[in-house]
Amino acid sequence: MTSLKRPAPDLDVAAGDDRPAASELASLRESLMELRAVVSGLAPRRMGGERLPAARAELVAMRREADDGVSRILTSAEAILAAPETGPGDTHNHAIAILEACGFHDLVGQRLSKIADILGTLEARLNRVAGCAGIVDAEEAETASERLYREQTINGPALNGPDVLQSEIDLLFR
Amino acid sequence: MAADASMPILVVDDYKTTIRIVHSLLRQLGFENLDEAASGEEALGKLKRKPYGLVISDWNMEPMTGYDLLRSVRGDAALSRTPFIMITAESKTENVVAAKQAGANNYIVKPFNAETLKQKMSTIFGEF
Repeated sequence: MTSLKRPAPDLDVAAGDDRPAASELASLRESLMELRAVVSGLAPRRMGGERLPAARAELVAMRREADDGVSRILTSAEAILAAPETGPGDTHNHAIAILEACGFHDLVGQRLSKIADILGTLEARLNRVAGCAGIVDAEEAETASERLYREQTINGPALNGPDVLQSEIDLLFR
Repeated sequence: MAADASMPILVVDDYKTTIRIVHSLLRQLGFENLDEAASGEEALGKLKRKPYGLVISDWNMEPMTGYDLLRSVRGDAALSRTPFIMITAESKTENVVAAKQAGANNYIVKPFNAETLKQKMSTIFGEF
């Protein structure tokens, strides 16, 4: 990146007493154009309007899936604890260890919330920048992973569960 | 103060999963009279309607935090002697000091295990 403090180029303006002011204006104009180019490079409309909301939606989905998984584990551990001990006698201890281990879920949830809050703040700020006059997202090259996903039409897990149920797939293979 | 297995215990947390875990651990320790609240406000309402032998509360809740709940409990003449354990991911020294100064009987940092919960309860009720 070039310095914002470089001397202004000569302009076709009146010489004499007006020259320093014209030079200042030219310098300011160049700095503003450079700043606009830098901000455009951030692609604020794409980042604030699409990518960050998508990332936050992934975090919400991650938390929901962790909730579901931990809930099923807890239900099984509770069922084990509710039943009388059978066998060697340490079954309940193992079930308690499972309960204790499920405590990770709370901490992970709090960390995900923190990240989602930060992304939300960034999203709001970028949207504000995107709303400024004259800021246009710069064209950006596709990343390797984006190209892979596009070419192979792989998008990973859907946010709200699979689009096609396994039972529907099974029907197709009958 | 002795631990009475029939005493009502109120567990306060906005994570349902944490409440389930604490309840299960308390049952293993022999306590069956368990109640829950998903917020500080709900907990305060329950505390004003019925006496509890122990409150186990998370700190991080909104809008009323566990710390706010603790201060409300300690500031209410009818509730001020209710044993209160803070159970939270907040492990900064200033949080622990603030909770102690506000009148918490003990403080447990998440994640924790059944033995830790039993130890902290023992400091209030004696061995059980």
